[in-house]
Amino acid sequence: MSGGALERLLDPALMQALERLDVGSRRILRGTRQGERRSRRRGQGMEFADFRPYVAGDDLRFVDWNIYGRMERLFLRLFEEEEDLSLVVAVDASASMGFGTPRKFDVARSLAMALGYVGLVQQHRLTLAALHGDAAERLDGLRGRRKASEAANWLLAREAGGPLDFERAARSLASHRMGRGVAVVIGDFLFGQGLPEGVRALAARGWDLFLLQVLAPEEVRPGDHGVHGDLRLVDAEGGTEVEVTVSEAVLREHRARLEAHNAALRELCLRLGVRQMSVETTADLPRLVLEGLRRGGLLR
Amino acid sequence: MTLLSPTLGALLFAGLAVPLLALYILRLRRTRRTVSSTVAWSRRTEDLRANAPFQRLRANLLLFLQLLVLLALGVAVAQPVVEGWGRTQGRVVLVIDASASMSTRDGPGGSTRLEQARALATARVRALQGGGVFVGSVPQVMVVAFAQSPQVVLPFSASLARVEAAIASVQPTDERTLVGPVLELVRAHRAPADDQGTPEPPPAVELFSDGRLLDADTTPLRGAEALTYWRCGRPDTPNAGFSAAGSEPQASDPARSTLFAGLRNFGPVAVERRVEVRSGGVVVAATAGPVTVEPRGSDLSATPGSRRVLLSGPGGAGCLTLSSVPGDAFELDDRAWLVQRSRRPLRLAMLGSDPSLEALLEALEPERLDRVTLDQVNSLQQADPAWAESFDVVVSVGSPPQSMDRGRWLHFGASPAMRGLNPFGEPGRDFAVSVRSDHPALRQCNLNEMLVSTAHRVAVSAPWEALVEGRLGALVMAGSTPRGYAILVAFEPADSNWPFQRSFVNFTAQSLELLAGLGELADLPSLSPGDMLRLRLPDGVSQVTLEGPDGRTEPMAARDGEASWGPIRRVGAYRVTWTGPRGQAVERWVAVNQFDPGECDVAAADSLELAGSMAASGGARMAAMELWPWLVGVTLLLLLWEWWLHHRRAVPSTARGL
Repeated sequence: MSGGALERLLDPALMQALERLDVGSRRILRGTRQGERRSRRRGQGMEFADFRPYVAGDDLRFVDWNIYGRMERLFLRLFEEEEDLSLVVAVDASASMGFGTPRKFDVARSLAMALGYVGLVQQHRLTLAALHGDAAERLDGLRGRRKASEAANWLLAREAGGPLDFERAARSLASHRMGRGVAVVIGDFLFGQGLPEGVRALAARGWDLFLLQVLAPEEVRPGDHGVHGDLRLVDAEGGTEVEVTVSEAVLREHRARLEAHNAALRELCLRLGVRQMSVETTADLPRLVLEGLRRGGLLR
Repeated sequence: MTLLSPTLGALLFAGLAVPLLALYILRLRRTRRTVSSTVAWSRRTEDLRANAPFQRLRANLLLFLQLLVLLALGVAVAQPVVEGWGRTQGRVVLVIDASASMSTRDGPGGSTRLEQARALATARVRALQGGGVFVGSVPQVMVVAFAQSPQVVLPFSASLARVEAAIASVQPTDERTLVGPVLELVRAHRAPADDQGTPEPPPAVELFSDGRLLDADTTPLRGAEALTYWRCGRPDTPNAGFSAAGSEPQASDPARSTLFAGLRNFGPVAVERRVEVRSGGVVVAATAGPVTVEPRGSDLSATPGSRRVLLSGPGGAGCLTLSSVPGDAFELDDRAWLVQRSRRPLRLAMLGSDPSLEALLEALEPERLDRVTLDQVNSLQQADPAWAESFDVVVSVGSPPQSMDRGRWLHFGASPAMRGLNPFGEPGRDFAVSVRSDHPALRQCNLNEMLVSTAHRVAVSAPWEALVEGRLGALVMAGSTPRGYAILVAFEPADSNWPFQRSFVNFTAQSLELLAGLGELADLPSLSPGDMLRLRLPDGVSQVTLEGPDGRTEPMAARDGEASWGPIRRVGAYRVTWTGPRGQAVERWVAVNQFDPGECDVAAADSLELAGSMAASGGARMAAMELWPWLVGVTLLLLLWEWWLHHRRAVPSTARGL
């Protein structure tokens, strides 16, 4: 399963293309280990960054004596320290993700693997998480290309099912020490409750947060997929029932409500400085990753 | 407000509202379908069918509107009417004027007054009933049509359909209008007193007429009688037409006649009329141009303007039709019919002796003038009771013969012993006090200078009528005998100064002409609508056929040498035919004209006054307000609203952004 698991999630050609990419972040973030990434933290790296006046307590080894000789003032030489990046990829594993053709959860796993693969190739610290119930099941400490199979196996072992309390699950995810970095949450975000609270909890964690919304065509255009007549619609997670007589008007109203929901999500993300992107499960995965996610700034 | 059929309305509402509510209570068994999330779905049900009980009845605007529709329909079927708009308790007599003036076409769309009256009466009876369509009852309603005499079209009935049918069946006549007999008829139908002896109130009389009632001044209402007048026709409708028609053979040319036509104008402005005379549909005479008939003037009580027209027309027997061109709203007097008889020498018998009378008879150049004595007459009549019928007229002076029952008699002297003639007192001096100058025998007769030295005193009763009333009794009387007709003068010419006056000549000649004419027609050759047509027949004639102006023929059964038919309803020329004793076809014409000024003045009366008491006006109490048509309209509007709402829910417009 080890080698095959990765290929079940990612096409080899896509993996090859992903090796040239890196995770994009709008901020320079501080990691816990030296990595292949510049840090705003000035210190013990090899690349000179700047000078600053000496203050008591500074390490005298970094004083630039040549400047002192010319100006009789103490300046400290600063170097950019190379740090690794903490990349958290969380997948909504609730029952609602099991819908669609192809299933939203399958697409979400592939996207998570693609992002994780980029992180592993670029020597970032990768944390995978599956959100279900009120918790976040995690796989920590992945680093390096050789961990890709492990990550794939872990993702394939996850399955969509059960309800999701997004707020509590998000808080659970944010409570773990994983360093500051980039966090990507993949899900449908069709929550009746807890969506704003969960997003705020993740954003407050300090991550450069990216919400990747995956929707099935059946959800966007139900009228084109056999949803008609007198129906009792049952929510897969909450069990809520809604009686509808599906007509053109009802479909129009459904679309309007869905767009309003997504618009509210976009507005929330904009307000919290969170990037957000919506994709449909029928989108071509390589194109989505190589073009869509790069255009969205998540990959570069 | 009254509901005429509340049960039907309630049943309709309940019968439909319950199933409607059940439709909303019944629940649709829906297909369960699991979706990823119901965030984007809201409850939108438009159940058109149901297959499972039950669900909670939810507030629904469509249901509310549908219940409103049912409620409006139910109330409409219950037939609400606003009370107090003319409903009458007790029995009602609808009296419809079918007289000549009701043929005036001055209604909407050229309708006649009778048509207006029928429509008004129908609306009125519906108002009495309340305007119900499906059920409901009217008070006891009787329908009476009247003109010169009343006719009960429908006795008291509570059936709306029968009352309406009776109203529709009232046919026009050309008769005069007399309301007195109507009131007598209504009084005769007054309900008897109840068990306690309390007399029932008289029925309310609702009169649909133009108010041209000839006897209104002499017909009072009694006691608690109530009459409501519903005016039909316009009070400003003018009319001009014939007032008289006659002909006289021309002395210079016996083949020609001089035709007289009287024209009359009741309107406020002068009118121009052309008179045409037709015989067999062909114009045989006409005025050279229009003649002007002066108006009546501003005072409606003034005499109408008149104009006499003289024309030269063909002589000989037959019927001429006179037309006044152009016509007007009242067509009845725009035409007149004139019967001309062939003039032949008279066959006379003279009983008794009077030089002046004999000279006069001889001057008339009779075909035959037999002089007989009283004894001869008595013996001749004993031998042949029909002896007198072999003469056109038997003129007698002095003592009457034993029998004057058959034939035509002009008698001067003591009255014969006949029913209706009651001699009293001693003969004495007398003079004319009142004269029936309209009688054909007394036209152009001025009796002011007539003095009688010895007049027999006679009181007359039916079938006799006094033509000249003296101070002490009837001086001239006329009447029917069992098989004849007689004009009696209560004195001998020699006992008066009358033979020296022109009126004596006129009277004698006109009486002979009248009596001779009555040899075949028992009444005047020109009749008015409402008169009886009586015909004296030769012996042996039993079958007589009458052809009316409309071309319809009907047999007249003859009995005892006389045939009668009537009363005559319509104006026009009536043709009477029979087969004579020798097998020859005999034809006689009778002209029926409406010249009555009271009937031809067609200005409808605004109000009606009966012998000083004003009749209530029905104009403001036209009908009860029927609400069901409004409710049907509301129902339609509600249905439109409901349809729009339903359609809006089912297919919203894109502009609403759903």
